[in-house]
Formats: sequence, C-alpha cells, structure tokens
Amino acid sequence: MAQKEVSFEENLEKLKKIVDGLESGNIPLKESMNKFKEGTEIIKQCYKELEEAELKVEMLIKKDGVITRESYKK
Amino acid sequence: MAFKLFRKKRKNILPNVSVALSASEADSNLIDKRIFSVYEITRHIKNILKGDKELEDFYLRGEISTPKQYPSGHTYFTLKDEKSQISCVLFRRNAENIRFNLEHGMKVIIRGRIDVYEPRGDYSVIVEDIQPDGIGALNLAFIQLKNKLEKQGLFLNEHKKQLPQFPKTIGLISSLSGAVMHDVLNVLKRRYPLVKVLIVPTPVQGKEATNSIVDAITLINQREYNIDVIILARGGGSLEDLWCFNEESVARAIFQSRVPLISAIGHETDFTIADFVADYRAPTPSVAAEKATPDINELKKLINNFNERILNAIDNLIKINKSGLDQMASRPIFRRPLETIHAYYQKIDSFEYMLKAKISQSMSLKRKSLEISDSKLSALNPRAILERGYSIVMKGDKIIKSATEVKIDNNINVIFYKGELEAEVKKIKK
Repeated sequence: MAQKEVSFEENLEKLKKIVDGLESGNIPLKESMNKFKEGTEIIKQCYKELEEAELKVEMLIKKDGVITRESYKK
Repeated sequence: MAFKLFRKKRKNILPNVSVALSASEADSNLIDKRIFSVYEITRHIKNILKGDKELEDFYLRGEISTPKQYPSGHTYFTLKDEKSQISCVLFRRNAENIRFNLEHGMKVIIRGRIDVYEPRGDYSVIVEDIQPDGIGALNLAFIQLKNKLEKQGLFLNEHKKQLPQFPKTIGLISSLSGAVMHDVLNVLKRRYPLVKVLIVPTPVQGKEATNSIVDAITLINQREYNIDVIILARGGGSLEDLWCFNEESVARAIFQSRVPLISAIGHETDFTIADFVADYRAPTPSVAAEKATPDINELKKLINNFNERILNAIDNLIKINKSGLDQMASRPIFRRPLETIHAYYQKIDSFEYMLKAKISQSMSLKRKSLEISDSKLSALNPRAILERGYSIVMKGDKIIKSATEVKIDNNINVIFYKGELEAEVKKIKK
C-alpha cells in the first residue's frame, strides 16, 4: 500500500535519476547494485500500474446547496 | 388699436353680425381659445404623440453620437443621419439585454417608441432594443468583449499555465447529455487510464449556463479536489448556442482558475472568448483529453527504454569493475611477487656496501689522526731525548736542573738511554 502512494510521475522521476546515476558510473559498485535493484523494482511497479490501470470517474453533484461525490454511470 | 383692427377684420369676415354682438363674440372667442399652461400644452403634445400608432413601436436607423451612460444605468445618446437628429434614451432594464456597448459613430437599428419628457419638453426615442446595423449583435458583442479582455491582458501568453505531464485527477466541466462525456472518457480510458476524472455536470447552453459554468470552475478549483487540469468542453452549435462561452463572467472565471484549463468548445472552426483565455485551446473535446494526458503506449516505451538503459548501465558497470580488477591482477606485484622482493634485496645489498664503505673511510681517518698523535707523543717521550745523547741527573727522586742543587760529595744518579750510574760530586762549577 505504501508503494501505491508514490505517483507514476514520481516513479518516473526516481527511475530517471537512478538510470542517469548508473550511466554516469560515478557511484560505488555496491551502491550501484542497490540502485539497480531499486530501479528494476520501480520498473516492475510501473509496468504493473500501466497494465492494471482502470479509469475512475466520479461526479460532483450539487443538491440543495450541498455538494456530494457520486460515481459516474453512463 | 389691435383690438379694433381685429373687430374690423371680424366684421369683414362675418358682415351680417352686429358690432355689439361681434364684440361679445370676440370675447367668447377668446375664452374658447383658452390659455394653456406650459405643462398643459406639453401634456397635449405628449398625448398626441402617444396616440399615434406609428410612434408606439417603430424601427429607426441611424448613427449613434456621443453616448453617455449615467450611474443610474441609463444611457443617453443622439441618433443622427445626414439630415436630422433625435435624442434617445436607453433605460437600464433594456440595456441589460444588450450585449454590446454603444459607441460613438456606431451604425444601429433601434426599436423604440416616442415619449415626451415633460419637465424639459423634450421628445425622445425610448429604446427597447438596439442592433448593430450590418453585423449581428452577438458578433459585435464578441468583438467588443474580445477587445476589452485583450486590452486587459487576459489572453497574454505569460498568464498561460503549463499543463501537467502526468495529471492524477482531471476535472471535466460539461453537460452530461451529448457526446462530449463519451468522447472525452473514451480517449482517457484508451490513453491514460491511470487518471481519475471528476465531472462537474453543468448546462452548456441557455440562461443558467453562464452562472453554472462559472460556479463549476470555481468549485473544482477548491484544493480539496486536487485537480491537476480542467477540461471545459461543449459540442458544436450555433453562435447563440455557444454564447455562454463568450460571456465575460466565464472568461474571468477561466482567467482566475488556479488549475490549468483546457477549453474545447464547439467545432474546430468555432472560437469563443473562453478559448482565448484558456491555458490551452483544443479544437475538439477528444483533442482536449489527448492534450491533458500522456499516452500509455508512449509510457510503456519510456519504461522499456529505462529498463534497457538500467540493464546496460549495470552491465557496463560490472564490465568496468571487472576489467579494473583484471588490470590490477595483471600488475607485476601480483604476477611476479618475488621480483619485487629481489629488488628489495638489491637495495639492502647496496645499503650494506655503502655502510661498509662509510665505516672503513671513517676508520682510516681515525687511524691517521692516531698516527699523528703517536708521533707527537713519541717526540715528547724523555727516552727519545735520552736516545739522542742526553742524560738525566737525579738526586734521590728529584731531577737536578741546576748545579746549585747539589753539594760536593753528594751522591747523584745519572740516567742514560741505556743504563744508569751512581756518581759522587767532586767539583761544582757555577
């Protein structure tokens, strides 16, 4: 669940940093291996998110001055 | 005199009437032609004008001159043509229905009626409606509002907010009826199903539309909804149908929107004021949905690309480290470790040699100095002196250095280089 809170965008950002860092070759080997592990985890998670994503649609309805959220059904 | 003349005249006109009668008739004539007050005559004129069917409701073409709006909301102007002019009043309640502003020199067609303003005795046209002559009223209102907002800088690029690359929540303001919902949601589903959509349904046509759209924009801007981008959309329609998107209040609401807003109103060829103020204008609702989101296929490619890069990077890193290790292992210290030790041996040998040389040098120096000291010492040895032929004379333990130190018959010892003898003093020579 904790992973879910990281947005796709944040994951991409992180991934970019990791890959850039690894490509620069300036990171000690041991740290590089850890980063690699982290990076592949994020990639897995991104794939999963893209595969499993399902559009969520809701509506804001104002009734008698009160605003409620309702799910949208076509 | 005048009176007499009058009487004479009357006589001439009515010759059969007596003078006496004619005098009284003249008086009654005067009473018949009663004297009006200014008010009465004005009232009379007003009634005549009001009684004229033609003046009750007519159209009038002319050019507006010097319009002036008063704080009351009423506008006064003169309508002119080449030959004449007439003053006009546009009361506030009628002005509210007119979507453009009156400007000096504007050619118009007015629908109105004539009325008299009694306190001033002026007659003027009470304007019921006013249309631009030669161009539609809506068109003119559009042009005028566009000019106004443009002057106020509402369309400037510097105010355009950047659309987010990866929106988490999209606010969709549109009507639930019509194809817009379907089109937009379909595109989002196909393109970026990661996103959440929050719809604020609103009429997009008719009287309530304007306020409802303004409310929707304001509502969805509230931070609790966490909207990243707004799509304000409507399907195609006539200029009248789309009119609410040309209302100033809608334009201002869009301008004030904290959240970036994409407008997609009507068909590709329709441009509304809302489009000019929006941060991005999409030609259709579907394009708006595309503009608001990244493409999932592109994202998959991007992730693939990252995957390749990270594998390559780690592969390279391992290669580099391995080759570094190989290089290290191929150094002489690891390949022929004894060689290095031998080098140390040599060094030690050379040190030893140098040490010995140093020592022998210092020894010979010392020896030399010892020899010198020795020769000096032997030069001072009394035996060496004796060897040269000198003798030492002693009396008891005492060396005699003077003849006075002895007396006749004293026994003395004479020491030679070789041997010693005992003698007696025979004679002393002083």
